[in-house]
Formats: sequence, C-alpha cells, structure tokens
Amino acid sequence: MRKRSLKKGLNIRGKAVVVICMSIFTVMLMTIALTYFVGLRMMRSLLSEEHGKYATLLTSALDRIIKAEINDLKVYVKNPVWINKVEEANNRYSKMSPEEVRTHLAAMDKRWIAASDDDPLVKEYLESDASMRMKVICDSDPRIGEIFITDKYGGLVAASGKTEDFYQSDEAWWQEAFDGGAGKTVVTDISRDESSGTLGISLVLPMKDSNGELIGIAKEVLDIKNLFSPLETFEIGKTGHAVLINEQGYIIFHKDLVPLTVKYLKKGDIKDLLGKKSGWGIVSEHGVHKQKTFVVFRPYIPPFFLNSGTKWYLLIDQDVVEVFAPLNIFILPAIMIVLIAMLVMIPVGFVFGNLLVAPIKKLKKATEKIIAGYEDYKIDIKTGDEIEEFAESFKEMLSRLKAKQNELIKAKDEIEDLSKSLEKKVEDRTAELETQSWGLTKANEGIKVLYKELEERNEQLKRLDQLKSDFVSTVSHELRTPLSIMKEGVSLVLDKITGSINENQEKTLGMVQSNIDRLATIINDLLDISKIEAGKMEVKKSLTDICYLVKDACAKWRLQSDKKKQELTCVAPDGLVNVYLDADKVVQILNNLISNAIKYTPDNGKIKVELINKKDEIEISVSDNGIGISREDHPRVFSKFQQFARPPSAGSKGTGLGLAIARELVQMHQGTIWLESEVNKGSRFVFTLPKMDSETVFKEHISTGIKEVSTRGAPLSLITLKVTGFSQIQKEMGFEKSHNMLKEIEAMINGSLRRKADTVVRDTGEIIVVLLDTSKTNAEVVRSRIEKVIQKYLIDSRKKLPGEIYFTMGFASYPDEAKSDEELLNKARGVIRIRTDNNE
Amino acid sequence: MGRKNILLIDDNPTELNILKSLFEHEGYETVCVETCSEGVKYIKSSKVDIAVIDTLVPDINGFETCRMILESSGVTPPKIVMITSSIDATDAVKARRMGADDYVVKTQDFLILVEAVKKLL
Repeated sequence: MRKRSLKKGLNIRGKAVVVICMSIFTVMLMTIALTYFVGLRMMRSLLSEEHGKYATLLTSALDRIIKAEINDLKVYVKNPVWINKVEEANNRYSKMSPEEVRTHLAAMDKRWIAASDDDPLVKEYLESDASMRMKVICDSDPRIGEIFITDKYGGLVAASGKTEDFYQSDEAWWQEAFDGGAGKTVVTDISRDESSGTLGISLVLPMKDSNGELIGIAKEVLDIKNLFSPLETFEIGKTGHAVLINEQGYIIFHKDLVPLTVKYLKKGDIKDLLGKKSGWGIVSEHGVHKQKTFVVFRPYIPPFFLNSGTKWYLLIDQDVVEVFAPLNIFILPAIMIVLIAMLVMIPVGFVFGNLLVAPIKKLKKATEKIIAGYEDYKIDIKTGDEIEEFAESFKEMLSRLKAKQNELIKAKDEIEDLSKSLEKKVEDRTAELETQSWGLTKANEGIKVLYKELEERNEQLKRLDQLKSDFVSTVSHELRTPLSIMKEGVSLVLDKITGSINENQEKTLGMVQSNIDRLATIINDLLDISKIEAGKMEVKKSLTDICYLVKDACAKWRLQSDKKKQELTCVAPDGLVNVYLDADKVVQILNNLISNAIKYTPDNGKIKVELINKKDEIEISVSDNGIGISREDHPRVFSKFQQFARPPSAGSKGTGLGLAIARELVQMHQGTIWLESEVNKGSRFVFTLPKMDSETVFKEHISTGIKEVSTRGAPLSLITLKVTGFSQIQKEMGFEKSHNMLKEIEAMINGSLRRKADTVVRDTGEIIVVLLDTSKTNAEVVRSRIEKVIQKYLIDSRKKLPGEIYFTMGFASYPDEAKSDEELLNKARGVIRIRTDNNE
Repeated sequence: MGRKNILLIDDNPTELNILKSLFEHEGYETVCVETCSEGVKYIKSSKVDIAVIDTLVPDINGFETCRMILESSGVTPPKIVMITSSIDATDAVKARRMGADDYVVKTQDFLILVEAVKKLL
C-alpha cells in the first residue's frame, strides 16, 4: 500500500523538542537577562553604598588623622620651651618700630634664603631647644614633614628644618591663622612645601600665652604621602582603590600617581561625575587608567580648611569588570547551563514527543490495519488526554461505520434478491405478454377475415336494399299509371260522359271505383314508406296557418263522417296560428288519423279534432269513442303492417302502413305522436309539432341545400330580403294583411326566378331565397332582378300600403364566402340598403 | 415418409365433412371424431401428427382436451390447432397456455385453416 508522502515538515516529536527547547531557552534567557540587569542594578546600588561607606570611613579616618595631628600640635604649642622662644622673639621686637620690624624681617628673610644649612644663623635657629624638639617630633612621626613656629610678626622662631623663608606673615595661611590677632586654626590645601620638599597640607595653629594672647603661629606640614596612608593601603579586590581629588579634578592622592600632576578626568567629565546625585558613576577612562571604572565618590572637607569654599572628593574606584565580575561570572555559566539544559531537553523532548506521538501512531497503525482488512483490530489508547478522547470517538465512528456497512450489505442483499425476483417476474411477464400478443394476433387475424366477410355481406345487403327500393318505386310508379287510367275511365263512365248507365252498372262501377281508390292508397302508402325508409322523403317547412289546415281537413272528411252519421267536431282557436311546417305532410298525418277514427268508430259515434296552441308547440289530437286498442297492443300500433281487429263496419281494410307513415312524418317535424286508448273506451291519437323559431328553420333550409350541393360539388347562394320596420307595418296593417303582403312578395320572387328555388318567409318581415347550383355572380343577377320586381310590386300596390316601405337585400355564396348555414346567413344579411318610396 | 395423420374433433358433422374433404385433397390422412373423449382415446392408440380441435365441443371443452392430449402423448406430442367461433383474444391466450400450436377463428374461408395446418406439418 503506497503511503502518501507527506510534505517535509517537522514531525510531532521534533515539534515537541523544538517547543520544549524554545520554551526553556526563552525562559532561561529571560531569567538570565532579568537577573543580570536586576542584579546589575542591585549590585550598583549595593556597591555604591558599600564603596560609599568605605569612602566615608576613609574620610573619617583622614579627618581623625588630621584632627589627631592638630591636637598633637595643640599640645606642642603649649610647650613652655616653645612659648618662651616665641616670647623671646617677640620681646626683641618690642623695642622696634613696626617699620623697623619690617625692615629687620625683610633683611632676615633675605639672609635666610641666601644662607646655606651650615650658616651659623641657620644653625642658631635650628639648633635651639625648640627646633631640636621639633626635629625629634618630625623624625618620630613620618607624617610630619616640617614644623616651625613664628613670632607674632611672622618671623621664624624655631623649625625642624631649614624653611624656605624666614618671613611668613606674607603667607595666606599665616594671615588666616593670625586672623588679625585672634588666632585661628587653619588647615591648608595641598601644596608643595619648598622647604620640606614635600607635597602636603599644613596645620597652622595660633600660639597663645597663658593669658590667651596671640604670641605666635605654629605650622606643621603633613606629608600627604604619609597622611593619606589609609588611602594608600586601601584596596578592594584587585583594582579597587581610593583616590582623593580636588574639585578641579586633580588627583590629590593616588597610590600610583604623583599628586597634583594628573587630572582624574577631563574637566567636563569631572563635573558630570561629581554632579551625579547618586554618588556614583561609571567612567570610561581616567587618569592613567584605561579601563571602565566604577567610581563612588564622597565629598570631603578637611577640618579648618583654608579654602573653605572648595572641597576634596574621596573616590573609591574599581574596574567595572572586577566590580561586576560576580555578575558576569554568573553569565557564562548561566548560558552554559541554558545550552546544557537545552541539550538535555532534546532527548527529553524526544521522549515527550514520543509520548505525545505514541497514541497517534497507534491510531495510525490501527487505521492502516483496518483499511487493509483487519476489521476487528483493537484500538487501545489510554493516555488520559484529548488523544484518548479522540481515540474513543474514532472507535465509535469505526463501529458505526461497521454497522452502516453491515446495513448496506444487508440492503444490497435484499436488493439483489429483489432484483432476482423482479427478473423472474419480468421473465414471467414477458412470457405472459408474448402469449397475450400471440393470442391477440391470432384473434386479430380471425377478426380481419370475418370483417372482410362482413363487408362483403354488407355490400350484398346494400345492393339488395337498393334493389328493393328501386323495385318498390318502379313497381309503384308502374302500377300508378294503369291505375289512374282505370280511375279516369271509370269516372268517365260514372259521370255518364260515355253515355248513360243503369243502376246496376253504376253500383258495380262504384264498387270498382272505390277499390281503385283503395289500390291507389295502398300503392301510395307503399311508395311513401319506401321513400321514407330510403331517406328520400323531404320535409320542406314553411310558415303555415295550422288552424286553417286543421279546419280544412275536418271539412274535407265531414263528408265521410256524415255518411256514417258520426259527429265530427273541430276545435281550434280563432285567428291565425302560423307555424313552420310542411303543410302537405301535416295534412297527410291529419288525414290518416281522421280516417282511422272514422273507420274504427261505429255509426253515430263521436270524433273530435282539437288544436291546442301551446307556448312551444302545437298539439293536435283526434279522439273517438270507437272500439279502442288494448294496452298490450299499444306498442305495436305504429309498426308497419299492423292492424288490430277488423273495423266495425265493412270498409276498406287499409294497408296497415298509415300510422307508421304518420309517425315518420311527425318525427321528421321533430314532434311526437302517441296514443291514449283502452278497449271499448275509444282512442285518442295526439301529435305535437314544435314551434321552431324562424332562425332555426332558415338554417335548416340552408343546411339542407348545402348538403345537397356539396354532394355535387356545386355552389349555393343565399339572398335575403328584409322589410324594415315590419313590426310597425304589422301593427298598422294588421297581422293577417301584413303577412299576406309578405306572401305576395314571396310569390313575386318565385315568379321571377328562372329555376325552382327554395324560398322561406319569416313573420318578422324577412324572406330568404336559397339558390342551388348558383354561384355568386349569378346570384347577383338574380338579386337585382328580384329587387326590380319588388320595387315594381310596391309601387303598384302603394295604395294598399301604409306610407313608405323600405327594404334591404343581401346575398352570400357557399363555399366562397361562407362555409356553414350560420355564416352564410350572417354574411348575407343587411349587405345592401335599398330605398324605395312611392315617389320612385 | 408416410402420409401425415390429422385428427379432427368437431361436433358439427357438416364442418367435419367439409374439412375432411379439404384435407384429404391436400393428401393428409384424416380421422374425424365428434367428441373430445373419442379424440383422446384415438390419440392414445394411434399416431397423430396434428389434431384440430373445436373449442366448443360439448363433452370436454377444447382447451382441456388439448392439455390432456399433450399430457398423454409421450415423446412426440401431436401439433394442436384450435378452431373457434370466438374472436375473444383471451380464448387465444388460453389456447396458447394449454400448449396449442395455433388458433384459427372460424370463417367462411376454410382454406385459412388448411393453410395453418399445412404450415405446422
């Protein structure tokens, strides 16, 4: 298994090591730095304090020394020998005047300076008791360089050695000590003493007598070399020593240097240093010293100092290196320790890193093993930290994955099973479908054959039917001709046109005539029914007064009913009842019903013909009180060739086709016909004719025409004519008259037509003319002709008409302008406005 | 290679006669029976290459007969053609399920049946 190579980076161990080392390093470094600098500060202050203490000690020591010497001198100056000597000198001057004194002193001074040590003058002075004493003192105390005393005028009295001058009162120190005769202790600043040849400070004391009067001045020169011996011996470490400097910076005492020769520091630097309030400073080089020096200074003013304005400074200086050596010594080991620590920590880090890494490695191994397929490899990590938690979660995740995997395997198995069973199902289904398909094919083949056979049979039947129809109509026609001839012939004879006839002949011929009539009826019925069945019967509806028809029919049959002494009543409303119907057919229906009623009602019976004008239809009933028809026979009443019982009186039997024809005719009018009857209770035949609205009737006419021409592929034209304001005219003229006018116009139109056309009149003053086989151009010709005719008619009849009559005309043709009855009608209406008035 | 044997099972003797003459004209040995049980018995005893069975024979229905014939005919079962006056496809399916080799709807054209039989032989 290829391991994905990780980018080169520090592994956890390395990181751990780095982290540890860096932490240690940082911590230690910081500690060291902190320690160092804090230490430094501390050391400085400590040291400054310590060195300061030393300085203070030294200055006190110096103080003590000087004070001790002063005290000694104080004792010496009380020495009677000295005092006597001084007084002695003073007495010499008592006799002299001040000027003399001055001159004397000047001369003495001159002489003294010039004299050598062997000069008896010098010897005189130096070998006196006092001087000898002084010498002893000088010799015994290394510090003292010279002692001498002067009289109150400043002249030398005694000395330990040959002083440089005799006359001292011109010296500042003498005058200061003389203090105008008061006498004051004075300590001078360092200077070179010529006479002693030393650098030193001088103690100057006034000499006073027992009365306390100033008699002279004593001076003791302290050799600074010995005076500052404490300083000389003082040392700290290897480079620490004490230095005494004056305010200008000149070294007063340095154990290696000649006093007052070298400046400790440059002028500016001295000022800087001595200006430090802390009392210490670090100077980069001073005097002879080239090293950085830690200097602690304390001011010192010797007691009774002459130049009281000035100070000396006692410096304790030490090489900085040496001063802070302890600290510095600390640094290197410290760094070493850091490095060692780091070195030590590297393995520690490694170990630590390993500790960190170990569980992760375990996890990694476990993962690899699991990937490789050891699914149950156990993960055992007990580090008690987040890694253990992670390991736990990891284990959890693994077990869940395992569970999921198992689920999936189970699901997969289930799916496989399902798939197998589905396959089987599909197989089965396919086989089943094949079987079904086979079955369908076979059945289909059979059906095809049967269908073909059926078609053939059908053709045969059609031909047969046609044959039958042709047969019937041909035969009927053929039969009619001889029949009418026969009828004519018989009539001729009966009418005695051929000659006279006797009663017997009349009777016989009468019988023949009625039978001829009967035959004719039968033939007509047959013809009718065959026409109806062939679908050749046409119903041409026009507006007809049904009232009139009914009344007229009754009138016609009254003759027959009178013969049988039957009462034939006609009930109809007054006035016109205009309905769209085919008058001939309706008459036929009426005739049939009435004749049946007459036939099947006995003599003296009652027959009632009633017309009821209902809202949407006309109801006509023919009732009789004849033999009636039983309920069981009701269904068969309107069937062909059905007759029920013989008619009560000998009479024509009839064909049995009458009612069947009547039903067909009623149905062609979209009406209904039915029977109400019971045996011996008479019969009531009722039929209804719906009142069609004129629009529907118009359309019916047009669509019938369209149907006819479309079989021929011929065009059809429609001409419309509308009388404007017909309702007004109707009111003025009255219903009947206005309708008659329309009828007359219709007649005129019909008369003007070359060919037979279909005209329909509407009670709203509209007339349409349906022209078959007429194209648009031809229709226009017809239309204009009609227009002229009507105009002429209106002019001719203007006397009868109320005022002016206007009408509009229009036309449209099929199929060019419109393809349906409705379209045609709409297009044809109101196309041309024609005005006609009586003044045309 | 002898003549093929055809067994006709049909309850209408007129049909049987027509078919018999048609098949014999084609050169097949034709045996007619009017009931299914006779037919099954015949097959058990004699060799039959193809059986033409009317589905509506009264005693056992044609489909059952078909199944019985196939069951009892051992190694070489005869081919079976069902003839019927039904145009219902489910009958055709039933015939197929029963093991019929073909299914012919009865029409005036008997030659269709003859062709179907010839195809199977």
